Amino acid sequence: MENYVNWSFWEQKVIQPTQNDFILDLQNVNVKFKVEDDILHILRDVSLSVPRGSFLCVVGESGCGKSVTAQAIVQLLPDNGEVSSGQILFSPEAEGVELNKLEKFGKQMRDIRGAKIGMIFQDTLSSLNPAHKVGRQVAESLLQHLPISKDEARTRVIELFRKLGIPDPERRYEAYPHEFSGGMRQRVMIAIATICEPDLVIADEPTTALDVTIQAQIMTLLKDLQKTAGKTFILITHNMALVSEVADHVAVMYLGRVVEYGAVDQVLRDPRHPYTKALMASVPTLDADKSVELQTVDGQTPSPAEVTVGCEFAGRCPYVIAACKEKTIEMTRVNQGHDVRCIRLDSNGKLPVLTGGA
Amino acid sequence: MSNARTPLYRVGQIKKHFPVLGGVLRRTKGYVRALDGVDLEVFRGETISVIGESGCGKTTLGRMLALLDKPTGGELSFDFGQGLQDVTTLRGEDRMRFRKKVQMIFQDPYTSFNPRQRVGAAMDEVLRVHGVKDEAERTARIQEACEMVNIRPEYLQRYPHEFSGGQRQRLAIARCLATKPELIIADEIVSALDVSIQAQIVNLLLKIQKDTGLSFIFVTHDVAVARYVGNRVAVMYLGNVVEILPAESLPEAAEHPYTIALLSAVPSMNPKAKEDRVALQGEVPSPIDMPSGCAFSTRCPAVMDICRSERPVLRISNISKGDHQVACHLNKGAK
Amino acid sequence: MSKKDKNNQSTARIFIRNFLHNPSGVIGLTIISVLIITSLFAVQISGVEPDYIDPINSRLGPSLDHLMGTDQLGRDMFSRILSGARQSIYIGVVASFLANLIGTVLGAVAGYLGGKIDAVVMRVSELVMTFPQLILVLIFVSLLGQGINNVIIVFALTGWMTTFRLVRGEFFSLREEAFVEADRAFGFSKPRIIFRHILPNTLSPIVVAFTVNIAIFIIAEAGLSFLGLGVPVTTPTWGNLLTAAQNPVVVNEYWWLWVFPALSIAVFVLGVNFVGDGLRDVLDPRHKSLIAKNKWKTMLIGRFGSKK
Repeated sequence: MENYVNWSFWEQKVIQPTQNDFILDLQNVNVKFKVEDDILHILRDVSLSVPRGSFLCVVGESGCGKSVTAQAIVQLLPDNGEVSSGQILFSPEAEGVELNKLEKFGKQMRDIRGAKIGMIFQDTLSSLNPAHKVGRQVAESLLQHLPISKDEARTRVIELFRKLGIPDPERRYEAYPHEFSGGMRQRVMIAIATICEPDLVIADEPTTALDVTIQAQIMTLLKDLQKTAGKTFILITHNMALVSEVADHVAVMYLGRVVEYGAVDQVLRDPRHPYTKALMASVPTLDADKSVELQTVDGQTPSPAEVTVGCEFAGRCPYVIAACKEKTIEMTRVNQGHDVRCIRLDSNGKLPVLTGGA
Repeated sequence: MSNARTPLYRVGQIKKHFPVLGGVLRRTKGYVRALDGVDLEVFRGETISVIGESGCGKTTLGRMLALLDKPTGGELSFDFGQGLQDVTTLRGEDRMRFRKKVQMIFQDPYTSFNPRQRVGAAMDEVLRVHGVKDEAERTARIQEACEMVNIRPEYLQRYPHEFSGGQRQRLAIARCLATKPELIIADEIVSALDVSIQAQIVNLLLKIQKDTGLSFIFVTHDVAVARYVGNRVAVMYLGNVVEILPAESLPEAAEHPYTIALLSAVPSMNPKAKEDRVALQGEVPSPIDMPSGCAFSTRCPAVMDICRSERPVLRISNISKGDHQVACHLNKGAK
Repeated sequence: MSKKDKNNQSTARIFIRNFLHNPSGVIGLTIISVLIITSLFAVQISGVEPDYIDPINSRLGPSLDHLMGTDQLGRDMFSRILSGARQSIYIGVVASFLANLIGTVLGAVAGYLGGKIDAVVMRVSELVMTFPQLILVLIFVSLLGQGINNVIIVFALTGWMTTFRLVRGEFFSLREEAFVEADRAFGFSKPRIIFRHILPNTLSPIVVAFTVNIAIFIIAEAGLSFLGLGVPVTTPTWGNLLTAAQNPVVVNEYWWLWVFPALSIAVFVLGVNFVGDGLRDVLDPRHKSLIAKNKWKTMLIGRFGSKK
């Protein structure tokens, strides 16, 4: 097994995530988009507190707002979107800064982006400039934020390539993106995201387009970065099994709202929200019982314009009752650190048994 | 099991080599061996899942089976009812007969329908081209197909862009079903969909198979779905089928080192799985510059000398007694 | 799914409705309709025949009697310009239609089939393109003689290449699309795929090319006639009327003789371009239709990348 433990490149910093030391704290964040003449409520009161040095996975299907959350954090929402209310507090050191109050392309935000918060995107082909050599693109990120020479930058980049498992790094420094395979390109993206040693790394579906064997390698890399260099990770994905392997905490999103949050063991082994349960049951695992039909959810994710009152999932939920559609549902604490947004839970935090079959 | 019956579709040592042109004079520099001698048999009423990573040739195989591309070598034979017949030389009427029996569904639901044609008209056209002259019969068949996939007939008046991805895939399935085929090739049809929608489509496919007895060739990169959907699973690597085995016997019965590595790489909820993971060294060799002998020899953790010189042939497994074939030099001894 | 039922409306009605809500389209349509209608009723509106010679009233500036003045022979310019419109518009539209027809058919066939056929047609198009247009026109005119229909033929034969390239390019990319593959998998014949399936998807650029060419050919005709090579002076066209500007005295002192024809050309061409813009917006079936507004998913997914 490839061993990335001895990174002399980063200072060794093993951090045990503590209760109240949050490197990123989203409080009641709302994001609205102006589409044609409508205002769409894309993120609804999202609150996420990410402990320093932990690995958070944000899970959901298309339209749930997970990518928008990432964009909102680093203030890279498209022109027609804005954080309409709420607070995004980023605390790389003890002193926190409200990201949403900073100017989008002002110096402070630009300093943070890349140097304090690194981002890894899904589509490597379009995220890398095909006309520039790869080494230069990574070095650029470094030179933007640190006062070092070009030669020093080159050395650091090559060293990082080596650490990330890119073979023949000196030669690869001079190569163009299209000369790399998908997995290698993603490693380049990781290099760009981490070269300035940011404390927080946000990865948006980084391995969705990659083969499963490459995915395994990349995920190991990211997890090692967390464990040995004390970096905090937010991974956005739809792959629950992947989440189970790397996450410390999971936030499940549906139509702009966090519907369940907790430690990975809690949420994945004991999901309480109807949507989370359905999601887990709809994905076949390698040991799935072939005689059992996959659980599906009727219909498809509605448009944000269609749901303005009550639970977003009410239209498709097998447990729905009239009260679900009346007003906004609050989070219920079912266990230490495990929150679920559902009014159908009983005093033990469990859903009722459905009569007539689920 | 496989001895008693004749297959519906037989693939014999199919090869597809794409010439690589280079230089000023555009001379052939080499060949991309997308398919390099594939053997496969598909029986009536079965679903065979074809899995593999990028570059293994599974999509090329799917297209070849649908006769969208001509093989560079090897044979393709289909059973129209009177025994296996070579289909690569079919022309005109006979070829149309083949196309009626063998249909294909594509990966991208957003582009597999003509954006300017109403979906009902598209389906109607397919039936017309296939010789269903009576309009009432065409309408009836389309209605029936739509019912099977849970699409309301009044939606047929709409344009493709008015449907979601999942609905479009269902329409694509209906479009195929209307011609009453015997075999449907599904090329990564759920990869572009959300997982809950995937589940809907998967359930639908299984139901259709139960109700109609169709055969399916289900091409996918998702191993767990392949195992769930298929009766048998064929694993491909660099243009070869390296193993074919009953779906239920996965993952325990996997023999080929690549299959084992592939299965172990699938993320799993089981904490032990991560520890047992086989980390493959090296990169996939370029399909232009294939190693001699076994294509997997450059990365195989169990490689032997013979692997580098002699290409293993797909043979019946010596270990599992069932319908299990593997192309590997390991375990050849025991008979 | 869309809540309102638009199944009962035919494509044509939806298209017309959308077009009428498109600002460019409406402005353009108004301009050219006004011009076309007035040109058809030139005599009634101006009250005077375009050929009515009235030497006493020659070279008069614009006035209430003669809105655009009179020319050297006392003919009413307003009337002449309106009737000239008829010919110029006729030439522009028909020539553009023919040129586009040739370009489309050749582009479709070459684009879909590729290979040798494409190579041959490309070489032909390059040959015609590189030949100086004026010389080609002179050759054709000397072979065919002057006259409106001949001018149209000349334009069609020398102006198809842009549309050809356009359509060919579209076909190259569209033939790789999944729905074309699906058609092939269904056993559709090549002509069916080319003309019934791919071609309708290239309508948008073709229509735009059509409108752009109308403008180009009207101007080209004006240029030719100005040089005396196009339509003979006996039939008034806007270009013919511009020949008046060959004389520097006219240019300076009798400005109304050339300013109004030039303005007419400019206004009409502008109108045509607006219509082209409007048509391009409206012809795409994925264009926002007035009825279904829940396209947010497609748009949002497009913005942030799809799930895959």
